Amino acid sequence: MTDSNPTNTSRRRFLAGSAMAAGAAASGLGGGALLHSGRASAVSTNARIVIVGAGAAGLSIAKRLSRQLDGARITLIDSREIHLYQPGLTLVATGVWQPDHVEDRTGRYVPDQADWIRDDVVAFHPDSNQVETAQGGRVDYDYLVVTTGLQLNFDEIEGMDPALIGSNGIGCVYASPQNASRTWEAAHQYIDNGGVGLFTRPPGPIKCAGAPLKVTMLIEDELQNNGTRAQAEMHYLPPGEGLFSQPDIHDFLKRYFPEQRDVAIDWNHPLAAIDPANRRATFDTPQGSRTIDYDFIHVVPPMSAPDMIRYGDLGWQQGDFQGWMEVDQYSMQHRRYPNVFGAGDVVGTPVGKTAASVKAQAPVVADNLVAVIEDREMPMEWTGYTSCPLITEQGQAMLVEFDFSLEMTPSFDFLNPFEPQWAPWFLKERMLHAAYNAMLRGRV
Amino acid sequence: MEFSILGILAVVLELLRPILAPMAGLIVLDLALLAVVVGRHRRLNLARGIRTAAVIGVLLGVAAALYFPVWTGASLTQLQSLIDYIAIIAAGVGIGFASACAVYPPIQLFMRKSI
Repeated sequence: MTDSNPTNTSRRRFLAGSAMAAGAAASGLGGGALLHSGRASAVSTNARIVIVGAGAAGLSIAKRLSRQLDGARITLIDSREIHLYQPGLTLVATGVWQPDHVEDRTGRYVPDQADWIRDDVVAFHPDSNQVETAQGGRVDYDYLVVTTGLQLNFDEIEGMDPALIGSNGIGCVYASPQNASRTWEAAHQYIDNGGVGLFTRPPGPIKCAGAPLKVTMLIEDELQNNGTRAQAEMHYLPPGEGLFSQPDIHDFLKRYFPEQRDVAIDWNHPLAAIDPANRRATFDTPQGSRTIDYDFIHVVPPMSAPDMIRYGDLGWQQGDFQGWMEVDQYSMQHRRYPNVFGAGDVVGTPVGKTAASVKAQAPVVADNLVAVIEDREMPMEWTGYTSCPLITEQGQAMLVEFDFSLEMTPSFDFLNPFEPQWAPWFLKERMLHAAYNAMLRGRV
Repeated sequence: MEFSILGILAVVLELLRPILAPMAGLIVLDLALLAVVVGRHRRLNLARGIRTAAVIGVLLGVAAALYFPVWTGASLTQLQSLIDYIAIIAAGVGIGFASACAVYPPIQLFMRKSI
């Protein structure tokens, strides 16, 4: 039996067409909401807000403030046109990614409502609410957000210079994609020929504290894949008696390195000097100076806040975090200058210095700064959340997450943080860069 | 670390951003063809069309699931835990379903009823 009623046919077509149009409109609206976030109940103010540093923290906070404030003059100060996805440098240094995979343009993420001064701040004058730039400019502010990142102090290792990276068996995953790429070239020679490999870590806080461990494990994995593991002797040399700040992971690695990966742990070996021509590294141990000949060495330089903060008014004047920006670890507000906030690698806090920490800090800084502008109580606190996808080999990782308590705080209960699995590798290799970019746009 | 539903969508958007424009074009084209299918449905062999699209979806889904680890620079032998397997199965199901939906309109238009 067929339905030849023309009215029914027309009604079906109308309903089908309407449903498709509604679906298209809904998806367009949803997509539009994601692509263009509107200003819902923005706070009216004519405050001048200066954000120093257009890295992950600076851009994320700038985006959030531009949405939350109506009328504010937001100024970003940073000379860098290229934005680096720093969490990807480990993958460049071990040959998994190409250098251009971690390079982007800062301009893509600067909010339309913000002014971008392509210069660098060389001095802070918080008593007069002013910053000084390299090109001789002075910028006044009502509120200041410091997101400069940190500096790598290669000069604190005698004989070391970043220009040496890639030569004489010297590698260093930090600083730039080019350094990371040259590290892979140096590591590749070691992987092909074997010999003594030294993997160091400096005293004090560093960014992405898991990176020295990841480089060690990825190179060990490549030696296995290349069939040259038996010709290689690998040493991991921490400056003290800790491998990782989270104690359960420290305990895991303490057994895993020597028992599963045949990587010897030389405790209390901070790198003091390097002789590239002779491939010799000298360590200051409690038993005195010790020199080791190497075929490959992964150098991790000591790190600190930039000198203008390290030795300036905004730095911790005393205590455990001297050398870093002084902020309240929960509110991210400066402890002596209430109109100043900090975020990212520059701050002196018990844990952090990861992109995941920035993701957690950005809304805290934005919301608390808006509260200060409105002269009300600050509503947000950073829990110290930080995360490290600890890569154990190409194709597997452990998703380590913890906070100020140093207790594990897994986002995904079904992912065992002590078991190398493919799923965390997939997150690291494919999804986290997308999450990072969403963070830069202020959407997560 | 918490992600809201919109946050998850924002991350997916960033992941797809490089192919967003061609993907949008493909979706628009597919919807247009689907509208033609709806308009001509009396002349089409719907059961055969759906079956064919489903078979293609299953094949592509299985291929996607097997390729997924390789796409990330890993190998199938590195799948260790239940979560690893659930992840690739879920990816295969998702890609298979999306593929079936995408190929259905043009395939259906070729599947006419015998006169």
